[in-house]
Amino acid sequence: MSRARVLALLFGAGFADEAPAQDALAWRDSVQRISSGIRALQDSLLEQDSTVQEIQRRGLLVVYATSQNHARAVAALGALEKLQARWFGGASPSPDGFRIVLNTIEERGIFSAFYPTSSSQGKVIVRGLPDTGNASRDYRASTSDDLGPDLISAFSELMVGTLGSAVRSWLQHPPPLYLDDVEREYLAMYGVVTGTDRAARGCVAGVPGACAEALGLRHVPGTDPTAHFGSVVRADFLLTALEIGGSNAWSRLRSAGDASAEEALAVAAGVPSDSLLAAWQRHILSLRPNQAPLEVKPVLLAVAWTAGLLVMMLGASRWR
Amino acid sequence: MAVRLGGLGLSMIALGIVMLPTLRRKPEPEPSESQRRVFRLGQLRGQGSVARLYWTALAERDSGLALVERTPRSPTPSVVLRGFSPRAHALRARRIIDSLWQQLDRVDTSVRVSLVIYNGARYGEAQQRWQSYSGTSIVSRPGGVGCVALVPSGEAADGAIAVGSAGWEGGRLIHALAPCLLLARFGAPGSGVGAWLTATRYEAAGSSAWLDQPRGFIDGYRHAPWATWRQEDRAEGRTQESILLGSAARWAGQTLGPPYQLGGQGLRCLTGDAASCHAAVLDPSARIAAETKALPGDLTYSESMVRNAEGFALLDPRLPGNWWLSDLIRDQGPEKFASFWKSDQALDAAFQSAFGETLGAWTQRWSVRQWENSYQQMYNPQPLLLGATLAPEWPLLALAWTGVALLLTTLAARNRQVR
Repeated sequence: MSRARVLALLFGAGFADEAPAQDALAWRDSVQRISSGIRALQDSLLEQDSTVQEIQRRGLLVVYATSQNHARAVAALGALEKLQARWFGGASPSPDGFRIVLNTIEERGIFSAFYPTSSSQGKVIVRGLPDTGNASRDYRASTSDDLGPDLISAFSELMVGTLGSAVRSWLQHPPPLYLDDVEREYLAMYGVVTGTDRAARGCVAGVPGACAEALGLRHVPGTDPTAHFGSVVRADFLLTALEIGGSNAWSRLRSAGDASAEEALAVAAGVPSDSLLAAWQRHILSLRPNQAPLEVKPVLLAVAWTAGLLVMMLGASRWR
Repeated sequence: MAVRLGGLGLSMIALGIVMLPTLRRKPEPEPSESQRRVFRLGQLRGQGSVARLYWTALAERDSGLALVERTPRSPTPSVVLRGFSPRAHALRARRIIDSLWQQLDRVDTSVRVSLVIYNGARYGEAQQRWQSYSGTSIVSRPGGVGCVALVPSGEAADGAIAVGSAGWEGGRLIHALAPCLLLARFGAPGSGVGAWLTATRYEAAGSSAWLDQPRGFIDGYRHAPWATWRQEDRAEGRTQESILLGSAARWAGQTLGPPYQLGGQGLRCLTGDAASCHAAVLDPSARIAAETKALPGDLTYSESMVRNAEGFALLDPRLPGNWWLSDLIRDQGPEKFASFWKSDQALDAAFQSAFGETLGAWTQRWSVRQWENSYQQMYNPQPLLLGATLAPEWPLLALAWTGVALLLTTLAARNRQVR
């Protein structure tokens, strides 16, 4: 190797510009290498280790946790059990079971100095037996004191993953089952009544077919594709179908395979699509508030108390 | 006096006690092995997503270029499906293309346009089609220009391909076809405009609203002009968040302060400085070239392909918006635009010749109109202020209220004085 080349390698390499990577095969190799790295890391995160111990069993559900997470893990398992029975008829994402690993992380902010935090680094594992090597698995980090929402969110995602592609694509995101009923339904109601496009207004006004169009179940050519109801409203419609359909609704929905979202949801509910839409519309509109946010009496009371406090403060001060 | 000093001292001590826990910082716990893995997992996912975008872009671009050579000249684009089953069909996409091309009052047949819909699942992703490249390859050939829109999709059970259906699939198709529509209608651009378009990777040519929307329509989904998805200011935002009171302070700063996310040039443009508008349209080419040098020059790019994911600093140049050219056509009409498009002069000179006003002046008007009608300005209005400013009424108001307060106190004190 010539001296010039050696010098160039020694001193020039540090300043070398980014090499243009315009080869599809090189990028393909990168993707494959990174994907295998991701898989290996995910597998390692999903493994059970000696830091966790079994805390409780409920039917086919088993929870393991590190020592400082016992109480939270039991509470989260209870929440999951109720949710599984209510919405999914006790079904599991796979016949092989499932495994969800939550890595609990203490969140540190500037105000954490003022109050003791109960959360700390640790791990909670929930297994749905038999949890074979082929079981559905999910991993996520949890910074919240209440592990229920993260566990429920992970479970919902695994369950939605078993649905047909048409329903999954229509749903956009797994339903927010971590919200309580009142909160979720009010969010959906707000989404419905504040919709501004023709279909959304038609849905509120009771125009036949408008709700199906606004929910994105039926497409009308020439309409604005971005104006359909969002995922929270769609999720509410899905949950209405499951509620009407009873304990076997989820299994019927899953069996619907690649049927369109509208057909699959009607099958799950066990009623014709139009009846399901009408029932959902009636319920969601019944949630609209019928009272003004401010009433005269509390306003007058607040003003009177303010005036009273001011008068008392004037009387309390004394000039020396 | 002694009583007052004592009170002051007591207040200081009380405040000190309250603040003490913040001064006594707890040592940060070492991240566990599990946390390190989680962090690494996030890093790898980010890298994997960029690599997949480049892989799909380069692989499909190669097949697209081969297609350009084979595509006969035609007044309507050809649609090619790659990697799907034999029963797959893209009827929705075909309908959209036919409808768009029917709206063109003339078509330059020297521009050969194709739409390639490729199966994202071939690149190992069943669901996440947003990780696949969607854009346009524009190549100049001796006989004309080749424009290939590349869009990923999946196949339903009945063979229907989702491209062109409601939602973001439809939006992505239109966005990929938008540069081809301009080329099909106005032909190959002149050397001046062409150089700018190539340098900015046709970033300002991403809307087709000029075909079917009236002049008063507000395009760009009512986004602010000069805005970018990577709005985070790396110098400012993170420092505020870590040192001050967390995200609440940052939110307050963003709400009460000027819209720094539009960048220095954008802000100056909005406040009436036409020279900044002029510079803002021309400047970003160097930045785009530097950020996308790993991508062949004929491909448009998306924000997620840019390696520098840290965001824009205040002084970094930004492009006006991908609907800028479309708005120019709607405002000035296709005839004047055609003369601008075909001009061999530099962009600003071509603009002046075609429209009879400067690039900066028109862009300034455009920018203000877009800003005033943006969702940001409608729902989270921010003051357009430059430098340290204090409106004259504020000191006067503060002085007046202070006077009133002093007067009231004096009156109250006089009445209560024990003589």
